[in-house]
Amino acid sequence: MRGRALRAVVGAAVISICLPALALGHAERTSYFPNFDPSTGEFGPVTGSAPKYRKSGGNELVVCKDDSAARIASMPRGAKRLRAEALLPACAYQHIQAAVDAAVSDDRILVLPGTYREEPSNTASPECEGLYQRARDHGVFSYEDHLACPNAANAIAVLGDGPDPDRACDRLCNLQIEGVGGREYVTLEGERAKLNLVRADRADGFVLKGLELVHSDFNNVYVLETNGFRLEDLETHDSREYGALSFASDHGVYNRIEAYRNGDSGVYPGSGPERPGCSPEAADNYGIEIKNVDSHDNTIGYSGTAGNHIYAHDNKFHDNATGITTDSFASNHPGMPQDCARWERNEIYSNNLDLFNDEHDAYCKQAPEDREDPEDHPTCPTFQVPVGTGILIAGGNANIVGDNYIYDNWRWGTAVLWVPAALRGDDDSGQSDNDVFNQYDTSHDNRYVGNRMGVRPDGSPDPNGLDHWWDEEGRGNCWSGNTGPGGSTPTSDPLLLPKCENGGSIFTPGNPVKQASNATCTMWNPRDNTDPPGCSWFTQPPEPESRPVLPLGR
Amino acid sequence: MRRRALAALALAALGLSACGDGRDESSGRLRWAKEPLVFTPEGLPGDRVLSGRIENDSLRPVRLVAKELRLLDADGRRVDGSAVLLESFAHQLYPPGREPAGGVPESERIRLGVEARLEPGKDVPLTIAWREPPGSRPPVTIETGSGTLPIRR
Repeated sequence: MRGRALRAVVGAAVISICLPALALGHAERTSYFPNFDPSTGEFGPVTGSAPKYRKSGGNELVVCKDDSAARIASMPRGAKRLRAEALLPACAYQHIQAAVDAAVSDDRILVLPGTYREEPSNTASPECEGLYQRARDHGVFSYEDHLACPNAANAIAVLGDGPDPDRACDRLCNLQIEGVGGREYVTLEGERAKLNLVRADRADGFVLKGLELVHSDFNNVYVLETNGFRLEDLETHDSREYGALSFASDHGVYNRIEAYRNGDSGVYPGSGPERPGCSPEAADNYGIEIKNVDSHDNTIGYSGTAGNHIYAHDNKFHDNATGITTDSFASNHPGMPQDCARWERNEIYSNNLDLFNDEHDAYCKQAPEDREDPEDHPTCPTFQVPVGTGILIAGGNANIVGDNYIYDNWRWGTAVLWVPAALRGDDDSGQSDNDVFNQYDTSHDNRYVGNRMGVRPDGSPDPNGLDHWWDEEGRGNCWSGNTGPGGSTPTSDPLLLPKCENGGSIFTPGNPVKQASNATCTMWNPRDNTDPPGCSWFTQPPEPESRPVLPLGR
Repeated sequence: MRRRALAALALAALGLSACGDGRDESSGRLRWAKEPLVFTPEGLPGDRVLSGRIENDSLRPVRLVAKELRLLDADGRRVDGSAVLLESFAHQLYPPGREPAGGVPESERIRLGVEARLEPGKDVPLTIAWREPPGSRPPVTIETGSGTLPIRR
C-alpha cells in the first residue's frame, strides 16, 4: 500500500484543481482517511482509539418534547425511568440540533423519550436556500458548505472541524448523543426530508447511543472522515439506502444495532480504515469492529465497498436478499481494492428475500411518494444482488471468513468473484491502488476456514443451495476445515477447492462462463430492465432439500 | 490487421461498407478479436449469453453504445436482448433515480460498460444476452451501428 505514494502525490495535485469528486452512491466530496496526508500523498501512522460510552464528563444538555413527561410516566418503574424523571427538569432544548449547536467538545446530549422530527432543519434561511436546493438536486457539498448550512442535507449535523484547512477535529469533538431510556422510547423520524438523519463529519470521538432512527432519504446514520466513533444500541430502519454507514473513518465500533428494511444495506462500513499490510493476528490490524448486530430484511445485511480492516463478529445477518457483501466495484472509494476484513462467529442465514419478483418490481417502479403501505412491503432495492446468497466477496483480497454458521441461503453460502481493476474507475484522492495495467489484482488470498455450512447452531441441517461458489479467478484463495451436516464435505463449484495448508489456489484468470453470466446482471435497472436475460440472480432459488451426508474428502 | 484497416479506410472513402474477410464474416469497422463464446447460463435454459471482445479494425476511433447494439435473426428481424461492454459484473455508483442533476458522468458510463470509445486496434469486452424460447429464430448477427458481427454457434 505504501507503493501508492507517487500516485497519491499526483492524485493530490489533481484534486487541488478538480474538487469535488464523487463517492458512495451519491455525490460526496473527496474524502480522506484520518491517517492520510493529501499534501504529501502519504499514509501516516495510525493513531487514535474508539471512544467509550460515558456516564459523566462534559456538560449535560437535555432535550425533550412536550409529551416527554407523559412518555416517561408510561415507562416501567426502574432505573431508566428514574434517570429520565431526574433529567426532565433540566430540559433546555426541543430539538437535538439545537443542543448540538450549543454543545462544546466532550459534552453529552441526553435526549428524553419522544419522537424528534427536527422541523427547524427543514427551513432554509435565505442565505442557505441555494444549498437546500443543491441537496434536492443530489449535488456535491464541501465541508465548508456543511459548516455554512448544517441542515441543508442533514437533519442533525455534528461537524467537528472548524473553518480551517486542517481536516482535523478541533471544533466539536467527543460529542455523545444518548437517548435516555433507550431506542424503545426515543425516535428520530426523518420523514425522508433529508439525505442524512445524523451526520458526524470529522467528528472524532462521536458516540450515538440508544435511539431509533427511521426514514432518511439516504443514510439514517452517516459517519465521515472521523477518527473514533461508537454507534451503539440503535434501531435503524426504512432508510432509502443505508441504516448506518461509515466512510473513510477509523477506530469505530458498531455494537448492538438492529438494522432492517433499508434499501441498500443495514450496516455499511465502506472505505474502511487503511492500514499498512494485512496481519490478521496483530492487535491493531482491524480499525472498525462490528458486533452484536442483527441486520435483516434489507437488500444487503452488511456491505462495504473498500471495506478494509473490518472485524465483524458475533452478528446475525439474515433474511436479506444477500447477507454480506464486500467489494471493489465503485469509483472514488478510498482504499481500493478491498482487503483485510474478517468475519468470525456470525450467523449468516436465510438470506433469500425475494425483492426482485414481478409484483415487487411493479410496486417499486412507482415514485416513492406514490407507494401505498410502504411499511407492509419489503424494501425497494437500490442495487442488484444475487438473491439467496450468504456472503459475497466481489473483488476482495486477504479476507478471512471463519467459524461462522452459514445456512439456509438458497443460492450460495459463500461466493467469491473477480473484479477487474478497470471496474474501480478512478480514485482521484490517491488513496487507492487502481492500476489499469494489472487487471487481475483482486480475488486473492481469501480464506474460508472452519465454517459450519448448511448447519444451524443447534446442529440440525438447513442446507444452502451450494455451500461455496468461486469464479475460479485469483491466487491464494483457500477453503479448509469447513464442514456440512454431520461433519460432511460442503458442496462447491468448482467441485474441488484449494486447501489453505497447500497454499491455496494457483493463479488462473477464472472461468469465463461464470464471469460472463454475472456480467449480464450489470444490466439490471429497476425502471426499465428488471429481469435482464442471462442473469439468474433476481429469481429466488427454490429451497434446497437436505442432501445425503458425504464423508469429508477434501 | 494493418491491410484490413487500410482497406476499410479506402472503402469508407468511397462511401462503402467494408466487407468481412471471410474468416469472421464481420463487416464494417469492428470485428471479433477472437471467436466469442456463446452459452446457455446455468439455471436459465431458455437464455443465451455471448461473451467476446470487439476489436476496432479501422483507423478511426469508434464510439460504441451498448443500448444501440441490435441482435438480428437470419431474416434481419430484431431479437430483444441486453448488452454491456464488460466481461464481468459491475454495479453502478449512483442508485437508479439518484443520478446527479447533470446526468451520469462519461467516466462512469464507460466504467459500467454503457458505452466505450474504441481506439484503432484496441478491443473491448462485450456481453450480450437474449431469450431463445423453443421455436424462436435465434439471432445470427449483431448490428453495431458501424457494421455487423456474426454470431456463430
